[in-house]
Amino acid sequence: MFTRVSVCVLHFLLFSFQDPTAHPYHFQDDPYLSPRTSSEFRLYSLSQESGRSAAKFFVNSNPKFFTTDFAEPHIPCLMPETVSLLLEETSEEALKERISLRKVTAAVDMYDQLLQTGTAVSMETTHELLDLICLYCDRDPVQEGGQQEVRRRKGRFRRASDQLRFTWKENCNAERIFNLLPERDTQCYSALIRGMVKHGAYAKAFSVYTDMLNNRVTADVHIFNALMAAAPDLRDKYNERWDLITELLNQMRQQKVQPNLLTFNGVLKALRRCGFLAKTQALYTLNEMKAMGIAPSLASFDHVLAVFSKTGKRGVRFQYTETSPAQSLCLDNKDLDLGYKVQSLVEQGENWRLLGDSYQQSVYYGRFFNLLCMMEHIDVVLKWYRRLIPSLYYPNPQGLKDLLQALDTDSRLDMLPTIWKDIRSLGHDNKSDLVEELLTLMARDRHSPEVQEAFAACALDVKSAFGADRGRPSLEWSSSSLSHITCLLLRANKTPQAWEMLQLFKSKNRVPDEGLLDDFLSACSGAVSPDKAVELVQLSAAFGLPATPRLAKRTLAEFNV
Amino acid sequence: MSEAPSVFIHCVFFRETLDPKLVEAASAAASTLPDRSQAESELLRQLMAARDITEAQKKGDVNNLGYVSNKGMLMGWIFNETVMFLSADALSPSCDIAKALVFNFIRTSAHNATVIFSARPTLWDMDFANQLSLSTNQTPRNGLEEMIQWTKEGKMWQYPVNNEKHLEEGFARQGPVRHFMELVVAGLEHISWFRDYFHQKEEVPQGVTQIHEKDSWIQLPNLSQK
Repeated sequence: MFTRVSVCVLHFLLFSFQDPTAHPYHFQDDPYLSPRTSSEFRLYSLSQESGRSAAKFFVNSNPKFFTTDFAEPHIPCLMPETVSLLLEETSEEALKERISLRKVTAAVDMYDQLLQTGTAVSMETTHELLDLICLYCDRDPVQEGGQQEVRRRKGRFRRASDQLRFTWKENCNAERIFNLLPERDTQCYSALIRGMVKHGAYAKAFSVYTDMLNNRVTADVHIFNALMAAAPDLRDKYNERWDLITELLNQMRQQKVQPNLLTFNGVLKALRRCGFLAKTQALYTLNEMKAMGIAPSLASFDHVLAVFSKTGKRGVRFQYTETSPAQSLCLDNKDLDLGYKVQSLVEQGENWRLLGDSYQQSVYYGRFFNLLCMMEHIDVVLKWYRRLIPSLYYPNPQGLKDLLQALDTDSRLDMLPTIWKDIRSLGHDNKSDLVEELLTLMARDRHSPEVQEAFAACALDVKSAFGADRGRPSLEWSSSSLSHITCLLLRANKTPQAWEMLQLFKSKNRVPDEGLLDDFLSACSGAVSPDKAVELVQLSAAFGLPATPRLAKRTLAEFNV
Repeated sequence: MSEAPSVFIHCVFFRETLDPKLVEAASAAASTLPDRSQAESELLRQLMAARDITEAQKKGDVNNLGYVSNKGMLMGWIFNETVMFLSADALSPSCDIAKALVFNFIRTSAHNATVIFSARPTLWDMDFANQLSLSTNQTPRNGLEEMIQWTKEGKMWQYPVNNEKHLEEGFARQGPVRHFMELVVAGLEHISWFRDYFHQKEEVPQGVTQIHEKDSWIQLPNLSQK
């Protein structure tokens, strides 16, 4: 019997340890060296991947330095790849070898040589050659890194193509070879059309399809699936798009081609771009699928959810769902129970893998956290906060603002200094609206002495975040931030530091408001320092505040000047 | 060369009779995967297993077989984690079900989903399978997952380690190893003789030590007198 790789023991051990708060494994386990923000995380992942690719490249391009084989038994994937061509003569065997090794240019050359010498090439090999050229858009495939991070540079397009996007060229080798063929069958057309659609030549794909119909060649399901994918790009209006798709489906029926799962998924995907038509048609499509006995896949549900997520209609039943749009649906509906259900699905078994790369993961957790902040009691929110951050999710400033809102709603403003520390370590301490929000919340009401003390310490720390030159855009002082910090310092009786703040007002050309100066006066009278009071009035005069006379009067009254 | 997902999915093909062309085609299919020689041996082993399955099925021995059906039609068999399609139709039904099932396998966390198509998988199928696997997150979350991944890639021995893996086909029958082993075994047979011999000779080393001690004892008073 065959020996299967047995990982049972490891699996058992694996399921005994589940720690969602664990440090990401693939990085160095050192607090100084671990990423603290999402951009650092991406940078480190990319650098790891590129290091690995560089090492692999070096090993493969210099195999003569890596001949020693220590491993017993031999481990093939750690040795340099020997992909040199063995067959050199002009023959179909050589062509097949080049095709199997995916050497596109070499294969095309060999084919041309075979044509010149008049050797016939079997239909099967021709099909494979066409498949090869069309799949790789007439270029030799580049060895790609394994992880998603390498490819999703921007992360803006959720459905960005995974491979480097090449555009189909006019009269490329695929078309040339195709035109030279004495007879062209379904599979030849199929390769060409699929390649054209994959590489963006949508109109051409349709024209080839029309040629095919004119030559009375029947299409196969792959051709129709490809055309379905291309249809939304060829028409601008929603109803025109849908008409094109129904036209294709009719032709499928006429040519007696059975649709498969990918056909229906293609229809659903196209419906996402058909606006108002989408909802009813999506349901019809699902019913069709059921009638044909084709079980919808995760992708089907993803498309259907996307179609319905705008209005949040929850008529859709799902067992397993694509998690990120599901979570956005819950958010739109403010449905917390459903959100928890989705999260429990994600935590089950291997489902977390469906979340995709780090960008999509952050989108998912962002939405989930947003939902929690809106709907849940602060203790639960904080519990999830500690669980998810930063091991699974690096919150963006909006997420942190949601958290601040939640703290305010449940009157847990005493947590603000702790959250400020997290804001700093996440690298969001240069986001002015976030910092202003924090300061406003701290300064708004009076609290107990311990809390005021903590707020004052936090305020001093926030002060140090302004204007600090750390090689990235830093915060600029605004009069509200200056006022809030000064106010917090005063409330905790940190008068000397508060005086420093007043100097800052001057140097940054910001005007303090009168309430603040009144507070100062009160603080001065408490400390019995008449000189300071006079200084204050002078300062007020320097600012040209209308309250100066009133302050002067007060000073005269309360101090012996 | 675009990296086929050797960890997740091995694409193999199978025909109803096992003939030399099959073997040749297996090596051709294996050459499309990154770790070629390992994949080839794996493929051939699985082909033999597949042949055994059909024979078992013919004999009616279906104890280890689950089945896969679509629209009530029996499409293939599941043996442990390997799914095989015996549909003679080379085109859409088998391939698409395979794709759907591949994704199902990913969902139900059977890592090593080996899917055998009834026709040769085209380049497009392999590209699709590649994209499917890349749309999910494959990075290991901890050391144990990494070890599982490496075991499947062949970089690590299976755990628990089988010390005698290289001894399965029979150990040394001739040569210097055998000779050495024979000497050791012969020595072990006469070990009691060795024990008695060393007991008898125990006084000799003790006597030598006493003489040495007497010598030094005599010298010391001389030194102190000076």
